[in-house]
Amino acid sequence: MFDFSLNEQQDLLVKTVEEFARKEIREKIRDFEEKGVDELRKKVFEIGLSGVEFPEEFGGAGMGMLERALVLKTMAEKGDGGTTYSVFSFLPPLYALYELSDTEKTKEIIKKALQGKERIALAKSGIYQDSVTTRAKIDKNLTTLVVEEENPSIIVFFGEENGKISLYISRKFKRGKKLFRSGVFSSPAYEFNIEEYDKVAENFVRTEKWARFIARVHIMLSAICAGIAKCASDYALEYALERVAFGRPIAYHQAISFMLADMDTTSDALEILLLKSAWDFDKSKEYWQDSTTELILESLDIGKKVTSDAVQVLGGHGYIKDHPVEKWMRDFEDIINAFGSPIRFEGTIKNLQTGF
Amino acid sequence: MEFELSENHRQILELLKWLAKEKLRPLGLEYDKKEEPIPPDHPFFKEIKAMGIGIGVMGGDDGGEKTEAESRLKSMLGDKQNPMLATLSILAAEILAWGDQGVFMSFPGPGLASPPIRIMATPEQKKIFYDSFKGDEPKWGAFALTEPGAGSDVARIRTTARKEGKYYILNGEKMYITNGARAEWVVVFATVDPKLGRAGHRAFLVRKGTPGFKVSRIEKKMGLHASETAGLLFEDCKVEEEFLLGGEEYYKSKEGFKGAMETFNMTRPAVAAMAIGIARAAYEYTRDYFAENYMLNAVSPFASRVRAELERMKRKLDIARLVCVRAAYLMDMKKPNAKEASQAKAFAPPIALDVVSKCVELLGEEGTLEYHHIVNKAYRDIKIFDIFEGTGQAQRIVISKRLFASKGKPTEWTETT
Repeated sequence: MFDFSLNEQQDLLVKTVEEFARKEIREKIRDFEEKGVDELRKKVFEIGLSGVEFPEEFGGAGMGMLERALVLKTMAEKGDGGTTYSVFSFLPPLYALYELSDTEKTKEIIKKALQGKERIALAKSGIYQDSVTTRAKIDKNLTTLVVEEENPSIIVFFGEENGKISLYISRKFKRGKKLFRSGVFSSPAYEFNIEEYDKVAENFVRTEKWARFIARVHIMLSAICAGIAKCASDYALEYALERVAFGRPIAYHQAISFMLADMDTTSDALEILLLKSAWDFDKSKEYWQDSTTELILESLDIGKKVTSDAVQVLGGHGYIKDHPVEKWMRDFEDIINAFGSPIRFEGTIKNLQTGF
Repeated sequence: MEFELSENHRQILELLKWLAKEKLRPLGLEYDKKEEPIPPDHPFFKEIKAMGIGIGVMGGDDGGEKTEAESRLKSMLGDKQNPMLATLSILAAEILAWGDQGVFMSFPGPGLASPPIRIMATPEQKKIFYDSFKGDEPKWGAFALTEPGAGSDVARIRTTARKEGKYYILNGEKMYITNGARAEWVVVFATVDPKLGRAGHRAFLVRKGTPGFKVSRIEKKMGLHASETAGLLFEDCKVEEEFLLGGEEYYKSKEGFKGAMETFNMTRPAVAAMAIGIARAAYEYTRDYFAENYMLNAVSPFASRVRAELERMKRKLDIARLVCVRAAYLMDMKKPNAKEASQAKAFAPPIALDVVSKCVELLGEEGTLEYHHIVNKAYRDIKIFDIFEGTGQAQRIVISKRLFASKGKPTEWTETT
């Protein structure tokens, strides 16, 4: 039957992350935008948050995506979403290797990455549902893969060779120009020239393991977006209770209080959907794939509205960098689209039944 | 964490789905065309009374006296410590509304009178009230709070209660009372002094036939035709003092009326779930119609749009349902859920309306005609869900007040705050 409560282990995990996020992140978010997250990532590894969802044989904690979602959501909510995304940018490439490739070599890479001994990154270009962008055509040129890491030790990427998509890793590459970007400054994006590469997985498109990889990425991104929505909503509430206009704090004008109520309601709704989708995935429930697709699409709808409304509540103050809401609005759009637009998953729901 | 039904709950919901499909839906369509409420002597009511199904026959585990149906349900659910009745109730509400909401609202039983009785009534009052529902004859209860001049702002009610010896004399008018004309008992809210605001409010159990208690009108509505909505008139209506709900003592603490308002924490998620049920019926009908006409996998701009819209509807209904389930779950866990109950009520009905109107639009020129009666009926039925049991706006006021309180701030602004 339904149970929305956390077990002891999950509760401890959330409390640990909450304390960490408040102490190490929230007050310093603009610093991370300038200096990156290397030091912070080390601390995250030290407190054992790197491989929460990976099996113990890989050096993980043997929990599931539900616990991962709790970690990411809490860190984004109590700390900062963009920073959380940057710290955990090693997860998508590990999900790709873990789900799609089962060679000893990739297992070793996963183990080392979870110990912080590899700086692993997944190229942003070329991760479309069943085709890749022209940037990752192996048989043409491979010059402009985009990677959100300044000095990676391994780049993982999807490439298309003779019309077939495979997964590749590269240890030999050359960093090109730094790309201007709109959000998540804590993860600077660079173009990389790939010089040598190895194929580590093939024939996975439209298989269940491919779907599992996509689902993990969707849960990860949605968890951060759910956290951003909750903190933007809360920040706007606190601001509105202090800022006075027309003789009272603006929260007491219904035009604002109704917005605050909707922001709170929808961000809560997204959180519940996040937990259910992650649970569906962990339990391999029928239609877990649909569940995580609904999650990423709903994250898009709700996150967009809530982060924009938070800026609206703060008015002119929301638009300038004295407050973090402008950052959350920018970061949100960057994170939700990090590995391709969620919109491409519209039209892929298999089960049109609703209800328990 | 867990997000699925137990086997026992699944079986109960399956049974209700059968009832909804085979009984509620045809009856609802019939009376929608007639544009009138199902008469109280309709054999359907006896039939479901015999099945032990009714509104208000169970109302959460509040330690009060258990009704016959509730005891039977609990024995079906086994000896588990927490049978999760509130959660089960809202899922049941969705299924029954999926069958037909107008018929569901006409179910005999204590109805919306039940929650205030459970929360406020003395043991003697509970006995008299619930005993009168025993037996084979279907009987109804009703809840009368709204007045012509007071809807969402319940503090403004003007029906008066004047103490005269061992009686209270009620004077005033109530409106939009579901099953009000057929009710055996009506829980009536009145004020002993309008100047006192909520502190002056009292609730009474008024029995059908009490001198001075009249039915003034049966409303003609846009939808929910099968359900009776009445206006009630109280003209020097003499109510014995033992029918003051909870007795005099109950109102000496400030918590009295607040207690009554807590009934909304139980009913709001259920009403939100009913909206989901209605929208689900329209959605499933539209989905199946397009599937039968080979449109779900066809390659054309309109077919792709239909498919995308249906997926979007399903997604919105799924998330809205979770918000309702969470509010009910908190109630089952005996945790505060006022904000969450209002969130469910603010969130689900607009989504349901959006889904239903989109179904009509996808079906196009025939969508509003008899060919697709279920869908255009749903369109007329659904709008009230963002209005009754507290409008969407009233819910946002509740939510924002709770948010302000969570930050240690006053819930309302006054010049002296």
